[in-house]
Amino acid sequence: MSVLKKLTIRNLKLNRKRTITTIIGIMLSTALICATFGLGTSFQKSLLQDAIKSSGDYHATFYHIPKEEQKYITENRQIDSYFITQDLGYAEIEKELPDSYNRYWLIKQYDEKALTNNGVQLVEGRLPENENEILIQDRAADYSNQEYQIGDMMHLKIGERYSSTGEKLGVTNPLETTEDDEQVLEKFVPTGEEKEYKIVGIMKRPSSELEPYYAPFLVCITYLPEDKIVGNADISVKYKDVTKTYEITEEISKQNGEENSYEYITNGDVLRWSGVSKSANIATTLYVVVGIVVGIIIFSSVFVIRNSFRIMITEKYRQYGMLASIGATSKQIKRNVLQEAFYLGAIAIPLGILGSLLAVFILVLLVQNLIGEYANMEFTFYFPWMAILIGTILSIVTIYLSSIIPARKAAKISPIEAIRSNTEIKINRKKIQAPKWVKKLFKIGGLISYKNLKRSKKQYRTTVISIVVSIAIFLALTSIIQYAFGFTDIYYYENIGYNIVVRSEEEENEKILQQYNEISKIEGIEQYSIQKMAYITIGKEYDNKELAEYYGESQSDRTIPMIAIEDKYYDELVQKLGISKEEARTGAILADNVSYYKDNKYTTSNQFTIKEGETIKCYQENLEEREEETPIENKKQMEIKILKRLGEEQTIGIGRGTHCLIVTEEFLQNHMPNYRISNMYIQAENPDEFSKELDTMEKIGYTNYNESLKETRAIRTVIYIFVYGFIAVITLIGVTNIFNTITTNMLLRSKEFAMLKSVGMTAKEFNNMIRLESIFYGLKSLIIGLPIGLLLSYALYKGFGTSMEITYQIPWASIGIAVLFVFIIVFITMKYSLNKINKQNIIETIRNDNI
Amino acid sequence: MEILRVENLNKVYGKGENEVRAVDNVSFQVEKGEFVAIIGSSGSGKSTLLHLIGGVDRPTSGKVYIDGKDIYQLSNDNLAIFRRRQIGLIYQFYNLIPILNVEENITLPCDLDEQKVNAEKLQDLLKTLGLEKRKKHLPNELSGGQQQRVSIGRAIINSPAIMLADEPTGNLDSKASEEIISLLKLSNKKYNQTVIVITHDEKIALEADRIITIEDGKIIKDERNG
Ligand SMILES: Nc1ncnc2c1ncn2[C@@H]1O[C@H](COP(=O)(O)OP(=O)(O)O)[C@@H](O)[C@H]1O
Ligand SMILES: [Mg+2]
Repeated sequence: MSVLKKLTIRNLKLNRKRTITTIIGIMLSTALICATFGLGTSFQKSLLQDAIKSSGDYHATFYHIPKEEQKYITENRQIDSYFITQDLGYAEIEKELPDSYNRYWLIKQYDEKALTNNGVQLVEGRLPENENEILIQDRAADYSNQEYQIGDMMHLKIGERYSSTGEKLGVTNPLETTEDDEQVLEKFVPTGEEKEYKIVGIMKRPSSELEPYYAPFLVCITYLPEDKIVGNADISVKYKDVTKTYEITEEISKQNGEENSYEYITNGDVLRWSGVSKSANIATTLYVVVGIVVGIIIFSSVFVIRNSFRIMITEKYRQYGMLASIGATSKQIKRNVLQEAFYLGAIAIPLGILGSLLAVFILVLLVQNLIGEYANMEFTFYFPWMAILIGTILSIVTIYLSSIIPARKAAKISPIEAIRSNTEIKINRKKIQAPKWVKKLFKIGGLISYKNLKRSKKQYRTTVISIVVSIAIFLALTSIIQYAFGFTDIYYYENIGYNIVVRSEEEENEKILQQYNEISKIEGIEQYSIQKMAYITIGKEYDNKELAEYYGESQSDRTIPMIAIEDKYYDELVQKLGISKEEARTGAILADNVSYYKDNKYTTSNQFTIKEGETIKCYQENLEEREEETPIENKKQMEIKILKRLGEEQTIGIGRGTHCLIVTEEFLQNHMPNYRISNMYIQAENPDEFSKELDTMEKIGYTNYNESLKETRAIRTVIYIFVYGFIAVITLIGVTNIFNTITTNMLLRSKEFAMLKSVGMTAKEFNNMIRLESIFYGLKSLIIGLPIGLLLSYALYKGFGTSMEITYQIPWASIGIAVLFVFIIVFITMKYSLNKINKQNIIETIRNDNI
Repeated sequence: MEILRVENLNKVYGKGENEVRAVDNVSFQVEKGEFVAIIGSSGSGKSTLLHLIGGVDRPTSGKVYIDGKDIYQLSNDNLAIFRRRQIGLIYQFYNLIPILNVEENITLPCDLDEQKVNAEKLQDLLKTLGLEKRKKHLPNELSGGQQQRVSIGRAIINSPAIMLADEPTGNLDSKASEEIISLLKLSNKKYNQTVIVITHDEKIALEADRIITIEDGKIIKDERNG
């Protein structure tokens, strides 16, 4: 080992703290890059697997291929593998299913490979092994109360669907009926063929490509032996090069000429997650977002690595000068610097990769546990080879670039200059001039702090930028969360006051009330409300012309419910609105907020031009006769005073977007004797348990909102983890930068500090000076960082603003956190270096540097 | 009048076999207005002794009285304040604050003490030091001799009880050295400033009122010049 090499290693060992912070910086950067790409890979692969599982492992399907032409597809060189399916025909479902829309079976035949590769998701039993065995879907098994079960035999008369005009109907044709859906027009014509199948398994509903949502049939699948492939088969293919899917498919479909081209579909889900997309729109948005995130990460990473190296070389400036003075060539010095970079990279990059693998693994596990169930898919960890490669290359390039520049500089050092000056920076008198007030206000300590900040501009700029990046990202991301969550249902559902809505199927009010009373006795209810309501129509004179214009005359519905809630809730609501209980009983509260899309923007308005306090004319509706359109003159007319309009306030069962008049029960009974009892809103302690109780009751329907709440909460948690995880890592990188810069700067100045002390600066004065410096420093970062962050958050608001009507809110809380954070970090770092410096002996420090 | 008294001063570095007695039981006095030169071979303990007198280091044992005050009885902060008022230190490598200009470097002890700087005195001092035209310059814009003059200015601005210089000409050519010596002499004569200077330079030693020779941490000779 050469002396220079030994020197490098000894240096790294001696400056242990510096070495460690540099390693941490490289580690974090590598880890962040790897983790970003790694997470992307894992999610993309998981989604691809999910797509393959549910829609099949193929890229395209060609339909109705005649026997003699099949080999031109199956033997095409671009094809990796293929499978064949064919439709045997329809058969009527003999047993009565609750959903009468489904009246046929569609019998599909799958060859060996299709059974395993065409998205068949077995729930129970096994795949068919011969042409007398069949798979049915779980809907058929559920619907019929298990009338179709594994082991049952099905006797099917095969046939075709024909329309009333005599055309053959296919998979994509919905059920042909009369206008009012009362009668079925299409005909089933048996071909005479009859089949006997044994049910051997139950599968999930196949993808919508096979069975559209409107399809009047249930797909069932049987085995297709090779010799039974007829002249009308569907061939699904997988290409060797998925990225060429669209071109090859087009090419194959037209191999017999334009007019004889094959019908085909491409497997959109699988292609999308394979990164192949025809419509670039969504993909582009996604790429832009990912690009920005990756850009920020790379930017910060490059920064921290670059900074670390610059600092390291600054510290050793003298040493390089010394080496040069005893005859080391520029080449040797350069090699020395690069060698150091190499050692650091060799330690830090593998550590960073390991860390990122661990982080990705944990994150995928977390996501799987949190939302796997709701998303109905499996998130799996995939070893991200590409991510590791990209991360490693990026880190190496960054390290190389960040060390080659200082290395060149180090190589150019003239020995005398290096030995004599103790800083890298040539001080320029003009640049460090301080205004008079600095000294007046902050004394000599302030003057020195101020001038030092000016002197180390470059170094501080790096750090200021990293703090600025952290602040800006923090502000922007917290704004995103605020906007994104403010306008999803999450907030809404959390505060809605109920988690179960019960509807009675009874007709008469007494019976309904009886049922509801019974329910109210079930244990575990935190609060409940039984709503009573009737319909009224508001006079035409109150129509909001602008809205009518927007929606079109016919759309503006002036008939709205008058809803009565219990006095308890009513009083709570009127208190929020600022009306007295007594006054509140003289009229109704109007809820008629509308938000609509106009001029590329959501705008809010009111459906009626009613003013608060106005007494309006309206007409009583008869619930039963509503359909018949009684002329308005014949309806009972009445006058109702509108007390207030509902804004953002909500009460149990009446949330945003509901259009109604809210009144007391007494008011409703007095004005609308024809009222009926509608829903019961329940806030249950344990909604899932409560639902089970409701299941046992007759003539009751209900919706449990807890599921959707749980789901949205889980999604939110995942988003939080990612967003705050991202902020945390970026901040960590920032902190590493800050720590690096400040400690170095302090150490470089230790001789100056010793001087100040030797001419009589007390410890207290010294600490004050440093504190002042951190304040200057933190302030500067904030002065730059906060406006940029706010600008970003405002830009995001503008971005969201086009689709939502919201007022911009300055994120004071986030600003507060950012300010606090910056000062805490700066102070802690300064404190750390101070402790180190204060421990040093004045004389030793001065002597050290004089050698 | 006695301005400095050193009593049985010891400074020991290391322990056991590695023990170095850098200052070994040294005692002596200096009168106000004296110009003392300390000479001795390299490593004999001159700098260590000077630092102990200047209150920037702490002795292993023994006492240092400046103007009758036992300086090592003072707390760290009070010692610092004492230093800026009563001691002027000059080092071989000037040790100026690189971001402060000539004027600011010179007035540093006053500023630290939050005293008003007497403008006339400063002007006079700058003139004496030959730095009038350079008062806004930064140290790195000055020659070695000029920098050393600044550090003399800094040492003298507060009219300290005692001025201590550690090989002030060690890094300078002969012409600059002569200037520095004459400045030290001048302050000694003009302001009746007590000066202790460590030197290898025969010329300086011969200019002194008194020459103390140190070897292995001990005073081996203490003689007055004719
Ligand atoms: N911090 C220290 N640790 C150990 N030994 C020291 C230290 N500082 C000085 N010495 C030793 O003390 C002795 C006197 O040093 P010094 O006062 O610098 O000598 P001079 O200034 O006369 O050349 C030398 O032998 C030196 O090695
Ligand atoms: Mg010495």
